[in-house]
Amino acid sequence: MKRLIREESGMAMGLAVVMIALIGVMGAGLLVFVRNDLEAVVEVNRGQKAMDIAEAGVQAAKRQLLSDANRRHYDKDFSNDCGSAAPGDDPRIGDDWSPGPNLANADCSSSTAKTSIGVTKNFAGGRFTVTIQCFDQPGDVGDVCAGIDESSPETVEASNRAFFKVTSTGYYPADGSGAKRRVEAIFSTVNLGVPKAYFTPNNINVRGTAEVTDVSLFSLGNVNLYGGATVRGEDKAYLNWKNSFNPTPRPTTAAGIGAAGTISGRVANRDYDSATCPKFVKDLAESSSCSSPGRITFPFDYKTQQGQQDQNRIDFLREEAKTNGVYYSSSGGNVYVGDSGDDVEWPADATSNTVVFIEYTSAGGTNKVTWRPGNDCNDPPLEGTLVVYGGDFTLNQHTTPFKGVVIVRGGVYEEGESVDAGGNTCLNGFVNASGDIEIKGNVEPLATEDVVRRPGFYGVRLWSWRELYG
Amino acid sequence: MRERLLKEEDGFTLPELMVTMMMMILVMFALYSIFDMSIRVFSFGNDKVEAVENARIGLERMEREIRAAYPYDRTATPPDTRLLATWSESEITFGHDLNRDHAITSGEEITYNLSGGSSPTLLRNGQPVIEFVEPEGLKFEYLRADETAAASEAQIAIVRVELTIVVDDRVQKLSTDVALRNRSSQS
Repeated sequence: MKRLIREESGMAMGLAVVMIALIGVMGAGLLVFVRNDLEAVVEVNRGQKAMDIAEAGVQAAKRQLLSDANRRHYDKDFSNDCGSAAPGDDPRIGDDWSPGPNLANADCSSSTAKTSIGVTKNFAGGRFTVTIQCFDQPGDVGDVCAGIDESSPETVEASNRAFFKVTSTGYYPADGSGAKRRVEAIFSTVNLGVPKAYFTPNNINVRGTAEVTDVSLFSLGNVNLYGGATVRGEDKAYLNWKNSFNPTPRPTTAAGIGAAGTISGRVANRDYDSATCPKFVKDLAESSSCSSPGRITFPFDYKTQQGQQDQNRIDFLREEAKTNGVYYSSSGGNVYVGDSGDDVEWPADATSNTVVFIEYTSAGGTNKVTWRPGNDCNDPPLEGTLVVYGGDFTLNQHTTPFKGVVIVRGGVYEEGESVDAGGNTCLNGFVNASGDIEIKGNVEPLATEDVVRRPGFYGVRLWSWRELYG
Repeated sequence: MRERLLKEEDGFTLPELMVTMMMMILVMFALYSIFDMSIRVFSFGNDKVEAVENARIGLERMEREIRAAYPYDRTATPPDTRLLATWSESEITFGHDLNRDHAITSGEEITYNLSGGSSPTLLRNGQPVIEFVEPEGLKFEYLRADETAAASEAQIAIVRVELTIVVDDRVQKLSTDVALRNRSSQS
C-alpha cells in the first residue's frame, strides 16, 4: 500500500488495461451490429439459393417430361412403371419421379419402399427433392393416373395435352439445416406441329410398285409418282387436312399429296399443288387466282422442320441419344445399322421413346447410313426414332421393319435399293428429310397417339407456377 | 499501523482533497460523455441495422409474392390473363390463387403501397410491413423480358422494386428485379 502511494510504477499498465477493456467493449458492440447485419444478409441469401435450387429441380423435372410424358409413370401405382401391351405404354425411362411411396423391382412383380418420394439430387451446395404427378383427365379409359384424385386444371383430353404437377423443394445447405423453399409448377405437353407424314422441303419421288398407305406426302418442292406407285387409304393423322394450321378442308379424308411445287400423277380433289384450286401454298398470305377457298396449306407447322426450331429439336434428340448411350458418330463413309457385327446394332430394349442418333462429323458425298437388320419384313419391328445427321439414309429391302420416325438432315432419304422394291421394304412410320425423299417400297403410318408421346414431337410448357409456404 | 492511524490525524490537506475531487468530477464527466456516446452509437447502429434487416425481410416477402402473381381468371372465356390489377409507380396489386380455383377471388388480392406522412410505412393490404421508408421511397418499374419499359400490362415480365429506408438521416436503398413466373405460362 505504501509502495503504491510512494511510487507510480505500474500505473501505465493499469491505465492501458482499462483503455483496452474500454476499446474492447466498444469494438464488441460494433461487432454485434455487423454480425446482426451479416446474419440477415446470409439468411436472405440462403433463401434465394434455396429458391434457385428448387427452381433447378423444376427444370430437371421438365427435362424428364420431355423424355417421358407417359402419365402412368407419374401415378402412385408402381406396377404402371413397367409398361403394358397398350400402344405407346412403354416402361418408365430413368428415375422414378412419381409421388408413389414404392419403387417397382426389376421384374415388376413387387416393390420396395422408397426412402423419399420423387427424386433427390445434390445441386450447387444444396439439394432438391422433386416429384412429378399426373392428373385425372377427361377421356381416360380406366384409372390411368392411379391413386391420384386430382383433376387437370383444364378439361382437355390427355391425347391433346397431358398435365403434370411438379413439386420441388430446395434446401440450402444440403443438410437441411438452413433455408428451405418449395415450388409447385404445373406443366402441360404441347404439340409442336411436327409432321405426322412424309415431308421434305425438296422433292419426293415415289417409284416402282410402291404403296403409300394411310399417310400423306408433303413437299415444298415437287412430288412425282412414277410407274405403278400408288397412294391409298385414309390419312389417319390429318383426315381432310383442316385444322389450326390449315383452314381449308379437302372434300376427302383419303391419304393424299400436298406440294408447293407440282405433282405428277395427281388425283383430283385429293392432291393439291401450285396448279390446283385451291392452290397449295406454303404461306396463306401468298397470292392465288382461285376463287374462295383460294388456298390450302400444310396441316402442320412445316417451319418447325427448318431454321432454329429444327436445330433446337435436333440438338434435343442428340442429347437424348447421348443420355441413353445410343449416339454414334462417324467421320464419313458407310454406316450400317443392323445385327451384331454391324456398325450400329439397334438396342434390344428399344421402345418407341428410344432415340438413336448417327452423326457424320465431316461433310461428304459418300456419307450414307443403311438400314439392314434381319431379312424379313414380317419380323417384329424395331422401334424408335432414328436421326441421321450429315448424310443420306437408305432403308434396304428384305429387312426387319422399322416402326418409328426417320429424320434425315443434310442428305436424302431412300427406301429400297431398286425401283422394283415395292412390297419389300417396310417402314411403319413417318419421314422428314432435308433432302429428297425416294420411296420404292411400302409405307404405313404410326398411330397418332404413338407419335404424340415420342420425344422431340411434343414440347412441355409451363401452365402455372406458385411458391408453397410452410 | 493501526496505532498510528488512531493516534495521528495527518493525511491529505483540504486543498489536496478539493483538487482531487475536482479531478475526479472531471474524469467522471469525461467517462460519462464516453459512456453516453457509446449508448447513442449503439442505439443508432442498432436501429439502423434493425431497420435495414426488416426492410430486407419485407422486400424479400414482397419479391416472393410478386413473383407468384397468378392470372386473374383462367376459367373465364376468354381467360383473364392479367397478372397485375394495379401497376403504378407507387402501388401494385396482384393475386394468389389460394383456393386453387384458377381465379383470383375475394381475399386473394394483395396490394403493396405506402402510407402517407413524413415517415411513411410500407403497407401490405393496409397492414404495416416496413417502417422508416422515405417519403415516395417505394418505386415500381415495369419491364418487358428484354428489360425495356413495358407499355401494357400484358408486356410486363419483370417488376423492378426499389425501396429506400431512412434512419436518422442515413439513407439505405434496396432494390430487386422480380420475374413474373406465370407470365411465361400464358405464351
